[in-house]
Amino acid sequence: MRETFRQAMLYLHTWLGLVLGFVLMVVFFFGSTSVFDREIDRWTVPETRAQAQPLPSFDRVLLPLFDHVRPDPESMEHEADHVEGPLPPAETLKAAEWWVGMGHRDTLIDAWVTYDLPNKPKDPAADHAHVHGHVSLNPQTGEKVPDNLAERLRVGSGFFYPMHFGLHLEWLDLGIWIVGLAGLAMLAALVSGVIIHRRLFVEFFTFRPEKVKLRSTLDLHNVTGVLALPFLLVITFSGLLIFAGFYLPSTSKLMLPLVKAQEKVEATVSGLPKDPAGRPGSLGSVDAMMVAAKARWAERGVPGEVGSVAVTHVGDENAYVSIWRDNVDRVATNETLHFDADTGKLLYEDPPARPVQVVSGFLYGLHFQHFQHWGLRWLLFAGGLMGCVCIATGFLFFVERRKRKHAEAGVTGARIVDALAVTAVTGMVIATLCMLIGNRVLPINLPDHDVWQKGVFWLSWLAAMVHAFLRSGPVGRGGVSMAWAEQTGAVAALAIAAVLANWVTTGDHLVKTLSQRYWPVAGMDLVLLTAACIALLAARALGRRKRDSAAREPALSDLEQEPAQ
Amino acid sequence: MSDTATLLLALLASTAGMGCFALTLPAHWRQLFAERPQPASLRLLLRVGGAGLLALAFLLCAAADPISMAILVWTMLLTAGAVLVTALLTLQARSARR
Repeated sequence: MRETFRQAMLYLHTWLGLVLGFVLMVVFFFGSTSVFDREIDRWTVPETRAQAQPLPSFDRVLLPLFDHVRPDPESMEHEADHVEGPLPPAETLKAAEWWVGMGHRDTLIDAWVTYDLPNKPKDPAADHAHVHGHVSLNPQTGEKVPDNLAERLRVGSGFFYPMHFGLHLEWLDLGIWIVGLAGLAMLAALVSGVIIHRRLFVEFFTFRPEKVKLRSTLDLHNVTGVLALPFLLVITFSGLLIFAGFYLPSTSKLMLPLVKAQEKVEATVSGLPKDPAGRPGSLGSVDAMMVAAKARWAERGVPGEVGSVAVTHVGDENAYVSIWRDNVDRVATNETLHFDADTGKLLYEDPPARPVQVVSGFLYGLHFQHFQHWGLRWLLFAGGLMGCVCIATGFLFFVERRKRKHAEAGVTGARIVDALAVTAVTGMVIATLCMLIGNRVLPINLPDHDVWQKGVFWLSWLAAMVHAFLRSGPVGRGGVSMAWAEQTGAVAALAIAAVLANWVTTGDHLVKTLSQRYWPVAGMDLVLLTAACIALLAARALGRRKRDSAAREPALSDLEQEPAQ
Repeated sequence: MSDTATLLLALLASTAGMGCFALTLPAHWRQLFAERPQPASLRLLLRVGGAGLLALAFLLCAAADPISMAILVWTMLLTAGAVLVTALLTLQARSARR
């Protein structure tokens, strides 16, 4: 038994952190990059390097776009497994819903069409089965983006972002479950961390890099954890909340009859038809509805641009048009307007948010970060990286505290954890940078261009892991793994190489992007160069530390005097 | 005053406020003022002043942005201010050793 509450919490903190910390490292790192996912998209798909623009005319530019959309073969294939009977041919499917929108950081307009399937879904909880189709439009030219460009892997929003919440483990949605478990572990680690911290206030501002490594590592772990605590708590909690309906599927399983009844009540209250009438209807001027929406928002004291438009029950008498405000200036939004598709009459206006909606909107909004506040975006990015530092130093402390004892006892625990920590920290950064370089140097006409990029990511990560294990020998003797310094050096070299690869393949170097104030690409390059500088400083410090420790290996008795924390 | 300038002032207020709190801690007081004792009245002043500066930072955030954004910006600026104070204290300790 653990004698005291604090010791029990220490036990929990150590082992939860050890088991799920590797996942948390991935979640926090790719969560941080996802703050700038659209900027990474611009960097990795250079054809889309343009200035963002407001949504163009729906009637003239966007409406013809929907004629180009066809059901996506992948979506058909996926849905075929989930319904009874064979699917009808794609060209006979009828569009049920249109959606088109672009955020303030997007340079392409994305349009999605939902098609109704006549087949009965296998899941008894589902009413209907649908397939989707997608098309992109270049607002500069007003033309449809060629399929090979529209389908190109947008690394920021198409790979790093799904990595953040699902680890790309799609089988049984395993990744989402693991991330959820890790999120829960993070909350427990934060609370238990506060409990086991002996001098939370006394050492609130304390970092002593000159002390023995055990002490300075713990200082950094504590100071990043404590100072970023409000951010870490709220971001973890809101992340779990976003997936609450997935982890606790009460609305889609347990309370399904109640949810169905609620849908009916809501349809009555809002007057928005839940089902199509089955008789054909026409679509009036959506541009006029957008003008009306902007006037209505101005009247309500929240002037703004249209972010996205949807048409529900396309071509039916019951069709209606929903118009969302582009949410640039606040955390949550609640200004959606719904118009009758034929007459353009305002059918329903979202009522002022109730207190629960205000809180949940705030928590969702701060996690999805659709706002334009660049200062806040950078602060949240830095907060995520502080989380990474906190987790990484947690591993280092675990290894540092045990490696001598393990070396004396001849067990390999510390050595394995250290190699895994190298893999999860520098290895992950190496994989990310290799993917960015691969994105720039792999020829565009290569078949399966996106698969190759993903391959570069996973294989370089695997290579970093092999390297970490091969070079971890000294840890087994109580020393420092060579892999830390070597991989840190590799990070610096790769980050510089990525900037150069961008320059060579696109001609966009920093002097040009900075003088044009094209921040998405200039910012990416600057972050990469900053990362290279930090990695160089770290590699130098690691080299110095190695020389110092070779000169004066602290005796085990020195370390015993450190507070057992 | 532009929103950027207002937010930079908010960061300054947050850093100064956190600095006041740091000085109420014996280790950091000794680090800067060696053996000079800290009067109880000064400690109280630092605490009240620190809290006041953090509150001022919030008012500045609220002046620059809608309230929902301001709450987030202020929370993150508290962290940023505390990180800056920690970094400054670490650098001061390093230069004092030389």
